Amino acid sequence: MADGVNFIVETKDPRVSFAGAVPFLKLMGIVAGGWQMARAALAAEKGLTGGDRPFLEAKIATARFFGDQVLVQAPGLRDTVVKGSPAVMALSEEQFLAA
Amino acid sequence: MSTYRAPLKDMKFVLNELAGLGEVGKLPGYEEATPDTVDAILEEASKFASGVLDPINYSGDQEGSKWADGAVKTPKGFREAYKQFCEGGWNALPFEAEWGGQGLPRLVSTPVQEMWKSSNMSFSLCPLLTQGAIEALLLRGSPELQRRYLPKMVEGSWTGTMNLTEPQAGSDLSLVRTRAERQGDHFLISGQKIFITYGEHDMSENIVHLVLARTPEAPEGVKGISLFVVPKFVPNADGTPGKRNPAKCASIEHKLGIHASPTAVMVYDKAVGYLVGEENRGLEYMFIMMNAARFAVGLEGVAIAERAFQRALAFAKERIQGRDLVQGAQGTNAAVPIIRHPDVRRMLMLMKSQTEAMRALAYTTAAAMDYAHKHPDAEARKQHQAFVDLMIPVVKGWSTETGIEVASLGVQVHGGMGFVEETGAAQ
Repeated sequence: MADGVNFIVETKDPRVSFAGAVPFLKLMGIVAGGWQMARAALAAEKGLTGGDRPFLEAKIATARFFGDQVLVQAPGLRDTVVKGSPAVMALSEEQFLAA
Repeated sequence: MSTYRAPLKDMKFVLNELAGLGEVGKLPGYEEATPDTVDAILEEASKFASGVLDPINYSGDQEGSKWADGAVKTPKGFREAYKQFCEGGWNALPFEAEWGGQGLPRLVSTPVQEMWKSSNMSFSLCPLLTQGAIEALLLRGSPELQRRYLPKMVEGSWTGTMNLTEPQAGSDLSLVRTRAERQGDHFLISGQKIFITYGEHDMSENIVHLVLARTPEAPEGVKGISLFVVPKFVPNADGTPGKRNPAKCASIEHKLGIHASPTAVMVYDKAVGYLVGEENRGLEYMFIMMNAARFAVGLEGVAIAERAFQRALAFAKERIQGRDLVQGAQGTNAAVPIIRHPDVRRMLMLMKSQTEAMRALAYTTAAAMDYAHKHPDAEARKQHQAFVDLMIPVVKGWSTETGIEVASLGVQVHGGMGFVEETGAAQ
């Protein structure tokens, strides 16, 4: 996330920063969501003794799934922002052929 | 057929374990939000969502709102549901006790609003717009405007709208052309507004439009836009709705979805309007209010994802198709529910885990709004407000984008049936 922030702040051409805006927003969401899922797993683990085991174990397993299947998109999104943004404006308007 | 049950257990887990409802309930002014009271509110809201709003969700979408001769007829059951909604005090729930509300924390009104959005998105937009208009009036309305409009709007007997967009002025509001000419103690508003959610309907006795317009001497661009209250019926001295204002609904849009929610084209022809706050500062007021509205829209993403997940899960448990990968290879030929198949399971887990993550982030942000509002220490209020300001775009942008992805997965779990309206997955 820090790489994304630095790129957006340091890039001189505002068109390139803006091209990375939505992937960056998605990166923020996935990381912040992962943070909440980790908190959920910790809270569930704490409550396991004496708590509703199937429900709490499902919370831990669901957090694990989020980490393994969703949070892993974060490095790719970082690369999309940092390395992929200049490609967005590469075509001239004329190069978009209307069939 | 799609049915909705509020995920109370998941909601309470987030409220208590992640968002700190216990601590929020200790903030000065929120003492009534005890665990027992909050439980009771969530139980009752859940019954209202399942028993009143959900049964008219599918039929409302099929029938849609209908325009004829300047009037809009909402689908069967909407009027009655709205009446019950207001009588049950649900419209007033998020507002301060001073204006007839229940003075509850955002953290409590947030799961309740999630239920309205999940059970009937079209219906939920009416109180959402009223809430936006109320917040604008609370922020900058004169004491006279507040006294005249807020009690009715909090109770819900008058609904609210937000009028920003014009055909040539969408995201770029510097191009707004609607005019406001001073006449004594009020203004006359003329112009056309589009995309006005619940701009005209038959559920309330009056509609209070908040309209962006320019006075004759206003500077060009965004620094020349003022905010006005334009009622459908101009209130009499005794507060009852009086003369019909020339604020007319010219048509409603034919949309991709939310068919029950009327999206009006409004035409103002010298309609009586009252200035909110100072001249030329309308956009600034509107955007303070819009920030709160953006959180509510983010919550729509959570709500639609939850509903899509419930529908997909029910289908995956009842649809029998294909053999179990392991037992089938051992010679068992019986077909099994599709929830047994790994790719269906992957889609359900993507739906479930992302919905839970979005809900946790939204509720945690709601708790921060409560701290930013009521924490006794000024520095702590500032810290929490900074967190809210950072997270609102994330809750709004990420949750709505992900809500669409989750709904799309729900269609996919249904296979071909996902394209058929009667399953509810497409809606």
